[in-house]
Amino acid sequence: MTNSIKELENARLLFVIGSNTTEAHPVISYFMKRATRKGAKMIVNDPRRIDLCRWADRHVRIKPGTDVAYLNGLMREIIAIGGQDQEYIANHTEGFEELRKSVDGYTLERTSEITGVPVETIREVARTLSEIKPASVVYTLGITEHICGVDNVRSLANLQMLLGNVGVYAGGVNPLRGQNNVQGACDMGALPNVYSGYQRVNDLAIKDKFEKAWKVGLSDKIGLTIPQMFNGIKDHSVKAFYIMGENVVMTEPNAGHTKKCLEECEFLVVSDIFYNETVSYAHVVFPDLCWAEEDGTFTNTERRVQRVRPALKGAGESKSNWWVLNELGKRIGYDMGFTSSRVTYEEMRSLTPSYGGITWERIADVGLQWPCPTTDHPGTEFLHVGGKFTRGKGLFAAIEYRPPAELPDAEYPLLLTTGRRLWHYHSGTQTHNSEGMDNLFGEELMEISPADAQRLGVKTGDWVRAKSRRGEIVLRAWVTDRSPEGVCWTSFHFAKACGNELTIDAFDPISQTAEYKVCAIRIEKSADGEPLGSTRVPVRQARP
Amino acid sequence: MSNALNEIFANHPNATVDKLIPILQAAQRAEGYLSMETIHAIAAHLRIPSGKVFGVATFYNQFRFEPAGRCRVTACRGTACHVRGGRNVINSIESHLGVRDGETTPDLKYTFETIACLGACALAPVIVVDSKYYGKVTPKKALTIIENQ
Amino acid sequence: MKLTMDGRQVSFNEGQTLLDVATANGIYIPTLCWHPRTGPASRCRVCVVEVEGMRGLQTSCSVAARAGMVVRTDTADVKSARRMTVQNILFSGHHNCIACEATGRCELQDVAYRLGIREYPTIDEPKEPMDTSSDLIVMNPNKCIVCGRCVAACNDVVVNQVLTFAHRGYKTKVVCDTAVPMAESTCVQCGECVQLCPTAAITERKSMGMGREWELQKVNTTCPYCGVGCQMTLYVDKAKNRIARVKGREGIAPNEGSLCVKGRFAYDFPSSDKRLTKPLIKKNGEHVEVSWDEALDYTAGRLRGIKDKHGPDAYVAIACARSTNENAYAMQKFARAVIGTNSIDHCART
Repeated sequence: MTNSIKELENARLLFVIGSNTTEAHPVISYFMKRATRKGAKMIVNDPRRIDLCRWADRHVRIKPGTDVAYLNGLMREIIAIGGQDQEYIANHTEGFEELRKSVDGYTLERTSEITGVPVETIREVARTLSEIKPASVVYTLGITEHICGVDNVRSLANLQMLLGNVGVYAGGVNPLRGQNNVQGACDMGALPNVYSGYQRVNDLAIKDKFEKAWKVGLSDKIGLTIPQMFNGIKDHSVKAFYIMGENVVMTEPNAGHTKKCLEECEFLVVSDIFYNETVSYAHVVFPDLCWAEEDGTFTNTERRVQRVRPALKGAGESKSNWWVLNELGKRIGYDMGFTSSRVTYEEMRSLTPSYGGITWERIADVGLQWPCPTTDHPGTEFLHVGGKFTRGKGLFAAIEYRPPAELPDAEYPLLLTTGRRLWHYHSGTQTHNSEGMDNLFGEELMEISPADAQRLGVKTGDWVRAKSRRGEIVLRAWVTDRSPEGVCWTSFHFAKACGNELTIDAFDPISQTAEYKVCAIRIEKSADGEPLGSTRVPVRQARP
Repeated sequence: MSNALNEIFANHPNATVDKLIPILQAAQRAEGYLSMETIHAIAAHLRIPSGKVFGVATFYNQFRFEPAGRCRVTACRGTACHVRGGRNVINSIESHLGVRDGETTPDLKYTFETIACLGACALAPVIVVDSKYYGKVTPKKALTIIENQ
Repeated sequence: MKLTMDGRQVSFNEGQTLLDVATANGIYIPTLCWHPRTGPASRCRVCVVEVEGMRGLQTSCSVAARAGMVVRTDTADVKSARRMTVQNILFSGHHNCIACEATGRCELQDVAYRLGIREYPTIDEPKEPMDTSSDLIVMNPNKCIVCGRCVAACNDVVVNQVLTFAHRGYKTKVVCDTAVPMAESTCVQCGECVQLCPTAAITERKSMGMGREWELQKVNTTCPYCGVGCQMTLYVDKAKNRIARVKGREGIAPNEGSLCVKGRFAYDFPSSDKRLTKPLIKKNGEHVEVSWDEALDYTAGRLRGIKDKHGPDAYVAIACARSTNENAYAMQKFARAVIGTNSIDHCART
């Protein structure tokens, strides 16, 4: 996030796109809902009628995967009515003319045709964005999990720079990170192109710095991303695969492909806390300490570094990963020198400028937000203050709409989009093993619009078979107007009916993120089923 | 949803929570009582949680949540009526109809209620049957009035 | 600005209430319905004080401090009014401290104790049934003091808008939606009401009988679920090595005390008997338990062999976005410094 969570409560306009906030980030949704009670306007842009719509002034139902066209159409209209912040554009940005030209083709009519949003709605949203400033843009994986994910994000950045909403309190471009420490794992350099703190591996000065610190020769060749790793196994260039705590069988798209790769892998090491679907393929399994047993830090979506403390003794002989990796290093011939979690952190801190001032003592009670270069620096609540960007000036990017990789056709006539439910977490390793959670939501359901359900002769509770070109699952149907006609929705929380058996392994060329949000499926009724029963119907998520 | 309810909503287009009580009153006039379906429908029309509608409706004595009898009998339990034997009137009606305060007979003929004071103390003890006041009633007189409805 | 409280000149800021001023100056005023996150409600009348020139006792949680005010928090009238109020509250419910889940953290118990209430009359009226329809939260109307904190929490803090007051006067009751059982209501089980309830009228079901407040060790940590990074306190039974209860940390960023259903209730997976407890090696297609030395020696041998034969880029690794920064850092250093490749990634893309 460029800004902080608490700012959302004081926002004047919330522009939410591709974020099912009440289910995926419930506590952030509290801040947003409170903002609406204080008078903030909220525009929810989402194909589905998610629960957040209850508090929204407007729900714009865009077709999945048409975000770039929608945003370009909005920007064209904003420029047409003079809603852009001319002074901000002149002082803090470059490339406005290119942007203006690139959005010119997105007339109201064409935008409406691509996105399915009525012309009048586009006009009104553009007017609201022009009138109420600053707006805070909130997005999640509905934006990034497309083959044009990077384009989507850059379009949002374009929009916010156009409106002069970057670098101001309660404005900004705010991705809500999905996992507790996905921000931290990025910050730590668990990425193929950067060391910790986004220091590039192919920058020779950086390489030199790390070689001196680690006293070892390093590679300046950018490494493989996860999809490239799987392809490497397929073409036999990758022999050894070390997976730490990721249940890739359920979380990667096209699960059939993932399983085949794991089977073919010459040497697979997995460390995890439960014997999950991925562990079963491993040649060696290390039992991990879990969250309540670990000593260390997480970094949250607003870049806040916070302490994690060991409350419990580890299960059996389970160990921390840093210890396991250090032991392996010693046996292979390089001692990483990790004698405790804290020693590991301190080494990272000494080599990572943005974390330089964040000591465990300083975050004993309340976390600090990076960048925080020195121990007397207070941390950074929002980035690009006063429109000062990392690169000097904000650069507009000319972006063209590209349709999703796989759209419905005669054979697979429905569009499947996937996501997360409030009650479970990812592959469910944690929530299925916590008492009571499965009683709240105990089996996966396929959400189908009433119109499609009628055509298919399906009612809530019936068993359906969902097929894509890659796989199939059998699960029960939930007929709900949360789904628009032509669009189905499911999650990947249950091994018995995991949405990722269906999803497509098509990736954004830059981020290598898969298009989890769009693929084509066919649905057939497989058997009549009992109604879900009053307590099991997810009434809680389907309030009028 | 009933036609009556649709008509009420049509009379209050784009209504906000300010119109909650008038709409509740109109709904009860039209349907005799507020069913849970009606409460949910009003909540949806006003775009507020159904709990909010329920909370407001149950706060006021004027709203009822079960179908009322065709004949409504109200007995006063104010101080003046009490000292002049109002309690005996109430007991006698309750045992005759076989219902307690606030209840309706199974044949939906009578609904019996008591009220804190009707303000007609000079006539104590007082009962009201279908909006008509009867003063200086005795247990026996009360039953005759009710049976003659 | 200054005012006089219990004979002392104390300074205050614009916008502070008398309760704020007392708290800032170390003067104890009991409260029940007031909470920092739900603000003054003026319902319980336990925080009353005397203010010179104002008629009757004033609820200090709702009266704004003004310059020159003369306030007394400890007169006989104040004390007896507070005592009578608390006695009435105790009298009108069923507060059985011995059997109560909240003993040791109950605000009603603490206030009664501080006011010197040593005994109170009880009435033996039929008990209202508890709502035990939910697997996670129990509602016990017999312990409800109608302070309204849960209703304010549900409607104004988390804005889920489920809890509401129904009926009025002595019959006032907190209900879900249209007085349906919690499990059939629109409640999403965030448990904000549990955290803000001053008694045991709303409690965690899984924590019942799992340990008293003072027996459990409190450990502050960060929630393991989504990227919000909520700050929470784990209540830990050290002897049994399990978490008994979870509470959001009040007044601490980023969550300011709030949690969601997963953070508050999905905490018992560490104690699951399905956890992996020993290293495993696949031998003849079956996973068998081995010692750490065997697992480490074997893995190191295989990795070194692959590196020597195929070069460092034949090794790839995925770090974990669920694990700590320290483990993620170790994972990338291992790939880069020990093996010699940059092929390290994690599920930021999924």
